[in-house]
Amino acid sequence: MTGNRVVTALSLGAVSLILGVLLTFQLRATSVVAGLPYDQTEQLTLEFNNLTKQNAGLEALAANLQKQVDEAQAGKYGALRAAEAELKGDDLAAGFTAVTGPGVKITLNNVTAGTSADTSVYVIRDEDLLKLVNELDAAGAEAVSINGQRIIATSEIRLAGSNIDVNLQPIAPPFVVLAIGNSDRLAQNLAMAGGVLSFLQDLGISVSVEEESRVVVPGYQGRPDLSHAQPVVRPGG
Amino acid sequence: MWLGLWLVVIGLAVGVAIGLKLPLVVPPAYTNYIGLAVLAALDSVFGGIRATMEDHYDNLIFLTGFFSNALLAAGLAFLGDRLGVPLYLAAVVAFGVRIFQNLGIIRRHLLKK
Repeated sequence: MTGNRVVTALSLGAVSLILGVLLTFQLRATSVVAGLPYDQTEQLTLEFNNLTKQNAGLEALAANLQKQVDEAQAGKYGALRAAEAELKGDDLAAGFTAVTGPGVKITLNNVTAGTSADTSVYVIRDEDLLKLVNELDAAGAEAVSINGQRIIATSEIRLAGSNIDVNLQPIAPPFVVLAIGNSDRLAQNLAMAGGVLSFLQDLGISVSVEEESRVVVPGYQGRPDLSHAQPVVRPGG
Repeated sequence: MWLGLWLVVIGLAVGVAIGLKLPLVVPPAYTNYIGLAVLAALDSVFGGIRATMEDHYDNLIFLTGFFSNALLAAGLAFLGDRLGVPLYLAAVVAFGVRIFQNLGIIRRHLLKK
């Protein structure tokens, strides 16, 4: 009977042991996929793997597209910078920005009353300023202003009533004309015999020409209103 | 009479310890079979406890019952999977009913004592 008991004990113990092992395995297996029916896990795992693969592909695609966008952006900024630089250059050439450089400063003033013995007192006229600007331009002046008014392509210099208007702004003597360019060349051109300055000097106008190493010529205020002029579009250009 | 109960408890504890030590995870596809095996083992254990209490425990019957029950349950589950019919439910119900019956008888034996 005792041998029988030992066998009984061993059998019961062995079966219980197997039961314990299986129980823990089962609990572990179900806890791995907690909240899911077991039979769906395989399918879901497959799906998950598929989606992971798809995701990787899509990420690669996104990175590629992002690179393209970056490249396009860089190109856009490059073009923008080039356009800005061009615009700045155009502004400079058109006279919309203040410029500085070597040049001359010409001061003209009418004969002050009482100092002249001559009865026919001469006053500086618009034509005199026009001629002066013309000579400066001919001498290679790159920027010219009269009493702070920048001379640009559309600038007018004319008599309006008793004033001289430049850029539709009335200016009054003394006239200070600033010109940027080769100062020696400008001064020599202005000093030419028979030039506008010698003519004015002969009439008793006080004229002074100073060569300056640094002259600041202001920019044109505002923008000329071009409502009629349209750019010509060249076919194929 | 108490020997069987203690043996079961000790065997269970050792089995759980071994199961926790083994770094093995059953593939999710086989959890059904493991579940049935657990039920079969549980049924056999309760049957064994009851038999020892009634003093007509037969080792051969106990062991063959355990293995044949487990195999039949696994076979049923496998067949059910193939046929698309949840046949393993039959094993679950049969084992479940027997576990409750055995538990009831064990309870009566314990109370009578």
